[in-house]
Amino acid sequence: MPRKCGNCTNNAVLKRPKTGDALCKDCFYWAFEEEIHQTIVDAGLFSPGDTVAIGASGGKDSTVLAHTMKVLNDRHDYGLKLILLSVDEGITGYRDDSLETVKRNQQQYDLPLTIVSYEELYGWTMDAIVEQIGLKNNCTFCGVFRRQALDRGAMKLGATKIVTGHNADDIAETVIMNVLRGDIARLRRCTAITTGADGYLPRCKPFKYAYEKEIVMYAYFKQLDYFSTECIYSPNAYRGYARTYIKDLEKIRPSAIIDIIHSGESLSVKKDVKMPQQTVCSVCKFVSSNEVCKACVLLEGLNKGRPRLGIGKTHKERRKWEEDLAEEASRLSLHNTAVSGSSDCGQGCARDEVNGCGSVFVGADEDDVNGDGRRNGCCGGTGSGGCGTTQRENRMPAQKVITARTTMRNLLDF
Amino acid sequence: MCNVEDQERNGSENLPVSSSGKSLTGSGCVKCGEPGVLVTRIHDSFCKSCFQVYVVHKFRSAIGKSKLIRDGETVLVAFSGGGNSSALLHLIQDGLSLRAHKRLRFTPTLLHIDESCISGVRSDELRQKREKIRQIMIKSGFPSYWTQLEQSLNIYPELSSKSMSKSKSSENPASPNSLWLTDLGQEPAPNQVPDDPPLEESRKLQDLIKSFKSSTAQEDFIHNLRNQLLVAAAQQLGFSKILTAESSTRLAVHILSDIAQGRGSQVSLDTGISDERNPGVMFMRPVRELNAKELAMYNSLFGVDTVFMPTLTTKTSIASSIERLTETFVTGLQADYPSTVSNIVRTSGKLGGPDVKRTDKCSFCQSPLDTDVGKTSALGAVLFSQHMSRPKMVDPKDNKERVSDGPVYSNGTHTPIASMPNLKEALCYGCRLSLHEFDGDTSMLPTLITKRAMWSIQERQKDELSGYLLEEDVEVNGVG
Amino acid sequence: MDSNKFTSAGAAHQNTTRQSNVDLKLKLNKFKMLPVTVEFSGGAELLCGNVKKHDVDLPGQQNKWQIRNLLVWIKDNLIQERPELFLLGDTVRPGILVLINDADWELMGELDYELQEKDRIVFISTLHGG
Repeated sequence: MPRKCGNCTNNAVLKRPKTGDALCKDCFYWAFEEEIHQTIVDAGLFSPGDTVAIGASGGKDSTVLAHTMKVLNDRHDYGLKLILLSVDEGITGYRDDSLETVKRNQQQYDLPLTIVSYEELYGWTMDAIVEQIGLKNNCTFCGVFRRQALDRGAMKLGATKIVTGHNADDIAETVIMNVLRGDIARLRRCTAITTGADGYLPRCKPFKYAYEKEIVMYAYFKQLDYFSTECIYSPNAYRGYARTYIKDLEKIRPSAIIDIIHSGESLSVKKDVKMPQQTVCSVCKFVSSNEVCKACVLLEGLNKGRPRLGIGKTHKERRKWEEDLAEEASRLSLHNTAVSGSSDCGQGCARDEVNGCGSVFVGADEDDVNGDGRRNGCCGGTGSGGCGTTQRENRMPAQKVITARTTMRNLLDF
Repeated sequence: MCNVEDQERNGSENLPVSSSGKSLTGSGCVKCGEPGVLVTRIHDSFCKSCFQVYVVHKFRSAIGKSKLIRDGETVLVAFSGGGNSSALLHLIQDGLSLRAHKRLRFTPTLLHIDESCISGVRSDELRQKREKIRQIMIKSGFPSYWTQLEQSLNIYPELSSKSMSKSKSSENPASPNSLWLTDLGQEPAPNQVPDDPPLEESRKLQDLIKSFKSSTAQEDFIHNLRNQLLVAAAQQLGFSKILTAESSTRLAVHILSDIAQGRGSQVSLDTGISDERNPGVMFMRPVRELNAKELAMYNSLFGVDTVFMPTLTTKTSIASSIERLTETFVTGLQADYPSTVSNIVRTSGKLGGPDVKRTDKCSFCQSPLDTDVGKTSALGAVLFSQHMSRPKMVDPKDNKERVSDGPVYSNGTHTPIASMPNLKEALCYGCRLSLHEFDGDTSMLPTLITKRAMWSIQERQKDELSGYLLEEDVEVNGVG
Repeated sequence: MDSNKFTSAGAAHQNTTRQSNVDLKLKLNKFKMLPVTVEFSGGAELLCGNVKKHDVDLPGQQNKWQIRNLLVWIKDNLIQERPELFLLGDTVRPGILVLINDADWELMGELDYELQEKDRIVFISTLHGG
């Protein structure tokens, strides 16, 4: 005899993973949507008039997110202006298909769509990056870049908030990962429903308490269009362990996912534990915990053929690099600028203030007077000439240079 | 969707490094170059004597750093007979011996809790094991006590409400309990040998445990019951400190399984060097900086005798309970990434604990309640989901919607715990979760829990009414 | 009686350490048996019928006995139930400490260690309490 829906008199068609209750389709839709609504209202995520950029990857989370946001915006009069924002990492085969899906979503939900690409922002596609550095640590690059890409794209559109489709399973997985890694700073932040502040775009997760299984069920029953496949550049293997653990936990006790989130919310950090300070990157003016933000460091590494810069211990890598360069300099006996302490080498090269001038090799041919790949008169990036040292002392901000491959564009350009 | 985008801002991508498979064959001791006998601390080898120095140092420094044990103090040592507590006993004996460098300045009393009833089997094999444990305890020369888990049903909770504490402090601080605790040091009399516990009591306990529907809930319940029994025994015997022998591996497993069961707020209490949740009795974990392998090796090298008593989930499948699953997960990960256990324990070391001096504590595990979290929370979300998925019953009296607790089975019956609906208000999130799976009668629950819950609810009601009650010190718990 | 026939027959009977076989092999002086002691503790003994100490004579074979094949032999001959709680793939489950003559097997080559006569191999389970 078929079970009855727990809420009405129809037959049940599914069992909710979250509570174990049996529900019919319509009651399930209603419960799912209204729970998201409740999350939004209780947490005060939006205000009327907000322009909200929906991070759309074409996957199930973002498709259901776009659909649900639209439904709730209409049903409850949030008064929001919704836009789809998608990031093109430049991964052939994977991203092309998902972008097609997002374009279809645009039609299906009648929402405006903007796509920002790594190529356009940083001058590198993920394909090119992987070619350069292989499959290890490529996820680091992608993660850092994507985060900034979304923010920059949203700002360009005048959005006041970003929403992403992170669901309960994702957050639980992040909590476990952070415990395993001993990352106290992230552990404290990762269960927050809204992250980001201080003048930068707040990023909310309305699906924070929604189970992945329920999102899949919703998409399935409503026959929503989505693209599901794993990134072809193998994802972080370590995270895979956390994911398997969560899935196994869910089998033993379905509420475990929410329980983990509750645990994460109840954690408090000891008062005397040092937390990284938030400041602003000196190169691109984006928010950062360090002098130079991670994306700039990574890009610097890529552009100069030292892709391990930014992976692992930066200062070690940098020191090794300076040693290598110093060695090379003495070998080739480069012509350095006079050690006169002049404050500005005046060549107009793109400088990274940490490394002194010439730290980014700019490939504009007309500047290559000597034909040796370096600017005339500058130390060639060894930082060992007077110019580089003085630059560091004077802390001049990076000059903006428009060329094919470049450092981070100043945020204010957008 | 790729989830990597959360690597941001401070960008320290410090993923653990897999052990490179470096061959350590024939490595010498890192301290003295002698042939090594074990590998620990990722890939350091030690010879036997340097290893002993290492272990003793970790043990002594854990105690010393905490500055919690005063000179001449007597402490209770929870002794299960297993590997970890045997190692702890040996370390204490070694530390008290005359030749020890800077002798230990406290004296131990051993306490064993016989949990053999859990397996439900009464066998000669188990009797022999019990006898062996008893021998080990007597041989140690320390005062030793023996009790049974069944006694946890006889614990009468100590009243700790504000009005009572004043009058109590002038009396004997020991609780009015009369638990059955055998003093093993006395001449063995016919009924002093640790017999099987009375059948009736064992059955009661077994029924209680079996009323929890999942192994996870059973294990969690037994864990808390055991701790409360330790506390009650300590109070009865007049001790204020209990040493338990958890290794860092065991703690790492416990940290994750706590998180998985919604006990995130208690992680630092459950796994730190000390735990002061229970009034008057503090738990300490002196071997928490040594991992399971190191303790096992110590036992093997120094001929420490151990007795393995089966537990609830011995020989069950890997996914039989959350604790078991987590143990497999952590030990598996540790094999490939040797810094796993220390990372996890270090993380918990940075977590602050809730303020244990608060008076609103869980009636069972005595942790400060973590359920006052507002609507935007996991707890709020679950309650709302239940609300959305079930027919609503609004209780007109308190205007709170009473939804049937726990999973609704196909016949839609309320679980009997609904007969004491306020019980869960007096419990923390983690204990609530376990109680959700309890489908026995509330009369089966230990007095310990139900009494405390009743008092705390009355206390809360009294607070709400304060200002309207004319008599200042009206006895809330009248009949008691 | 063909000596060849007996040699191959002797190698085939792995389980039984019968006196007659021993005599024969010693007589033939081929494929000597390898006496070792295998011990279990920390709960691992529950999988071997609660017997902690096993003095065994490993049957002679052409190749050297390594821990690797000792594990297979233990699984076939000593483990009475739930082998998956002892072995994982071709090695022991994580959480089981292996000592060879009182030394960590990581220092002796782990699975590749070649067994000698009178070696003492101890398996200590660190899972589960204490």
